[in-house]
Amino acid sequence: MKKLYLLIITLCSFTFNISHSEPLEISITEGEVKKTNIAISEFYTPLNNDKTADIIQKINSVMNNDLTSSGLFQIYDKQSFMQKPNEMRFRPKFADWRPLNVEILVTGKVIPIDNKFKIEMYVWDIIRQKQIFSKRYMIGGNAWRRLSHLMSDDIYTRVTGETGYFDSRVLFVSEQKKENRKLKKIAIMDLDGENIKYITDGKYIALTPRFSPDKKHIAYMSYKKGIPAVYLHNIRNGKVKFLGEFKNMTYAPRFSPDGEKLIFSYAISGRSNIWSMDITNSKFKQITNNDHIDTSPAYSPDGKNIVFTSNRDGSPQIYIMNLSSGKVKRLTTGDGSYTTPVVSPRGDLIAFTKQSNGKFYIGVMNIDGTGERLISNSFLDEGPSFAPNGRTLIFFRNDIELGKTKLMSIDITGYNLREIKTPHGASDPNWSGLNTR
Amino acid sequence: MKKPILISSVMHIVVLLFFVGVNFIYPKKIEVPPRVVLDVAIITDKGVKAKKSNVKQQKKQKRKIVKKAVKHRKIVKKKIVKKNISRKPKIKLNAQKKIKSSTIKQNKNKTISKKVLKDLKPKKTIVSDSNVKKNTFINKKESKIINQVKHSPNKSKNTQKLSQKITKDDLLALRNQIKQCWKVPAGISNASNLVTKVKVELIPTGKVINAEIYQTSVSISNHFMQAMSESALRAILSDSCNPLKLPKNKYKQWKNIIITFDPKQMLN
Repeated sequence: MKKLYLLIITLCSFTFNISHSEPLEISITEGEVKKTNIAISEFYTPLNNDKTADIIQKINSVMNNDLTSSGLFQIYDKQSFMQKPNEMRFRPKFADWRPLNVEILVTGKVIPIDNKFKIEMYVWDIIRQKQIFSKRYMIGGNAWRRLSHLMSDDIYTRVTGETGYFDSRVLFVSEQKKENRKLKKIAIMDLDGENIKYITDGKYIALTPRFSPDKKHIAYMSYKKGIPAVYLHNIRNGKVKFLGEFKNMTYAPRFSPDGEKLIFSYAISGRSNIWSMDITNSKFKQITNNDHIDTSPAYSPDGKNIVFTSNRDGSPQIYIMNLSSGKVKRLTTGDGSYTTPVVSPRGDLIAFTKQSNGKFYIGVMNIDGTGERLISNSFLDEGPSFAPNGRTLIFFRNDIELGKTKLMSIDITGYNLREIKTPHGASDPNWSGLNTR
Repeated sequence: MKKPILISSVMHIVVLLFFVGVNFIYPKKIEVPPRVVLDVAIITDKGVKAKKSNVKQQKKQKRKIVKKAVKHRKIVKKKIVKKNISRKPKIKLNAQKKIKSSTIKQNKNKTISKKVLKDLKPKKTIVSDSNVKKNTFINKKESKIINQVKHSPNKSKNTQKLSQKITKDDLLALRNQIKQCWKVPAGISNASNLVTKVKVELIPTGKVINAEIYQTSVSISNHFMQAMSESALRAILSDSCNPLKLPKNKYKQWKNIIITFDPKQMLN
């Protein structure tokens, strides 16, 4: 009997050994940096009236535009689609989309209810034959544009893993030529160039607009009495608060991450140093104190460090300073001059303007100063500002041929340089966080 | 008088057994209602408001739906175990209808006619997302090939051929093919630390019939990791990578492959 058991056990172990073979293992360490192929179908509606059809088309157009502008998606023309919206109201036929090399498909439904619309969006992974995202939205008739941006954000986030940024706004200085003089107004617009609103009227020069971290206020510099003064503009109610005159301000203020302080550079008897001001009690605090020119300060997202430009070692270079210990470390070592540093909302990168050999560059480097990469260059590129997700930069470029300045955006990888259209010349952009309304 | 009743009852039992037997021989796929999680966002020009009452109601509704679905599953499972009967599509459809109708009731508005609501109800063709398994990637010809390999009379000869060792050149060709299909989400935060291991099952033609995430360097709940892993899965399941160029006489070596997608070298 024992022998029989032994025989069974050995047979079992033998068969186990035969059936259990180690799978082959390989490693893929390279791939392609290519756009994701995406098709956005017009949404299906059970009640096809003119108003609904119009909204469906508008939403489709804005979403196409948003995702194209990100540079990460290859959008398909709807004329190549094999299935109509009503054929996909429950589920698309994946086999119809695979020959087109579509990877991601977006479908949806629009149901009008009185003056509102109930909208459902579905995102499908064609290759894995799966629904990967679905969401329902309720909108009033006028909110279709904002909804389209939010839906684009949802698609972007689901596919790339990054937070979307299409529902964000850009502050800039509009430069309109009028009777041989330039009208400089502070303006705000959606990222796609729509919904432009002017915050100042152009009577006085207004410069360097900056969003507060809570996105409710804008700080800007204006020369009402010929002296630079800083104002705080409430976006919601339009009220303007005078913060003070700064006779010798050498660089416009930026907010601290908690929104309670402004940091700027201030010149006294030829020495430019960095100062901060408490917005609530207008108390000043000197941060750097030396005989050189320290300027263009900006906080890190955690508020513990500041980055700034200084010529203490000769040419203008970028430095980082720990606010609690006061320790200063030089970050850049290359030729030329480095200015306007800003820290990414992720806290991992610093973007800057570099001037070298008669050219201007926009560059990025790691927070410790390593890995410098120049991602754009022209006769004059300046003033980078990060997207809320830290993935894209906006800056301004002086176009000599057109004789005006314009806004440009570029991915931090250096791909997808494109212009953001504005009605007039535009400079000094500042990208808001999300949900600024 | 009793005879016809007896005959009729016997015939009924025979017919019933016949159907039961047929179902037992050809078990049908279990279809679970599609997982459609819908967040409600009310969008105005001024801002986005989450409709709290609706969200709460939805959560309650979801719990109910999940409980119902679990109950149904349990009932169906018991039936499968005890009677060796596969789930009948009727049960599934009832469950689907209940779930769908409950979600529709919640959002019902008087202005939408009943016809519209009828139009919105799902048809029987809906297949669960979670149920998209390897079988969906195989066509009839390929299933024949699998059967041929499994039930080949010359098994001993085949196994000799199929167990030849795979060479470095074979692996290099495979790597080159896969790297052309892999669209790396290069710009995402911390991308170089996001490593995915994918377990792949192939048929002798070299076509991938199943690919699943085997291991990730960061939790898959991380959005960036999810994006990276999905890009790896899309690469291995894409048409340009199917079939994979592998020596057919060494099938046994590459029937199962674990592929590590590591973008570190590329991004650094």
